[in-house]
Amino acid sequence: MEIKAKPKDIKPKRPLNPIMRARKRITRLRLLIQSVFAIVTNSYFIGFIRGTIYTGPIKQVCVPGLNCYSCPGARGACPIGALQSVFNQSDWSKEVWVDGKTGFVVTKPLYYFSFYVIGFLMMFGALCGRLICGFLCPFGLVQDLLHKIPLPKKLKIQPNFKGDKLLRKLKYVVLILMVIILPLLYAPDPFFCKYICPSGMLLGGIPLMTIGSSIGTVADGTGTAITSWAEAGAITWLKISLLAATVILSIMIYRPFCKYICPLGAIYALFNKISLYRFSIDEEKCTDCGVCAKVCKMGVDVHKTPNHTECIRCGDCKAACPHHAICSGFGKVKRTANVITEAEKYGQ
Amino acid sequence: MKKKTKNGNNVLRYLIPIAVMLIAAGFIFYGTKNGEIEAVFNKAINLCRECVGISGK
Repeated sequence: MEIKAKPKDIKPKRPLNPIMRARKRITRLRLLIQSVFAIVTNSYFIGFIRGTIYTGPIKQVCVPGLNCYSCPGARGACPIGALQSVFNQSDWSKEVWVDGKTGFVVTKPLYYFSFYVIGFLMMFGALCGRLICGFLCPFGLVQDLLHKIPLPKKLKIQPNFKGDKLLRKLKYVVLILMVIILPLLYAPDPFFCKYICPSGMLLGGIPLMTIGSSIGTVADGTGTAITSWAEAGAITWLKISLLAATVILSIMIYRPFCKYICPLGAIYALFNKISLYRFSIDEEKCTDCGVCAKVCKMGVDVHKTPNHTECIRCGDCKAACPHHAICSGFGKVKRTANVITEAEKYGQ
Repeated sequence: MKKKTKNGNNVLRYLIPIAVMLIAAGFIFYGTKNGEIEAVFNKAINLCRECVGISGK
């Protein structure tokens, strides 16, 4: 006797509504752009095998995102590292003395302002603002991926929690203190890179120490650098702890490093209001429904301040707006965005 | 009827970022002439032990 196999109870997939579809589409597109850009700017693949770093002429050009120049694959210079390296240049023929308490050498800086690096930052900022954080920063990509790890709702911290506003000001303090003042006063220490930057540890320290090799010269001129875990010291463990904290927090909070610590984000934030790429609200269409503010993972009330300093231009609000009232672009901002057109197509 | 937008289109909206970009280009040019590019390049092509955390101090 033939036994007919019972068809399995397959639940029909609930079709996504057009807004969800549009949001998914923009998220995927953003992930693709972030990944391609991260691969392009870290395309010295042989460095990951040999444990060396790229030394070609492109290295004098600053990349827009936070990308450690000591990463074996890095093709360009990190603007925050580069800024500190210029401030670290000292005129050793002028007053030099050792701070008796801290042991730091206090020097007279050679440059009080870095035209070269600040020029790059102004160029990127005036063109795109924090679009760079949303689409071109490799460390932003890392945090985005970490935040995709599922967690119980109780453990996910929503934006605008108590103390969030105050914490967001911390990145400006980090910029002024760790990137400008301290490297100017105490050469040759790149304070932000040395004591804080988790990107340097993730992209540079861990790969180099794991591969374990000897690199030709060291920036401070002390000769050959042997990179291995045997070289790990107090600073290594401090930075690994900070990296671990960033990783854990990134799972719970959306982009904690960008929101609270990143000095590069702080610089681009200053340009968000004037940059060529911008968001705008069509007031005739906006009904103040608040959907944009609800979906924004950076906690921005988009319909009130579309060019807020905290907006990383991820485009989630634009895709979620049921009235198609959010427009974005370089130059003249038009309503016709691909995402919305797609939503309309499926909306019927 | 003209469409009302927050941060709508006006001449200043384009002039400011373009002016900033022109100043930025001037800064980059001056910085290159001023020797800052060597400082950046020298730091970038040599391993920065502090930056990657390979330092016991």
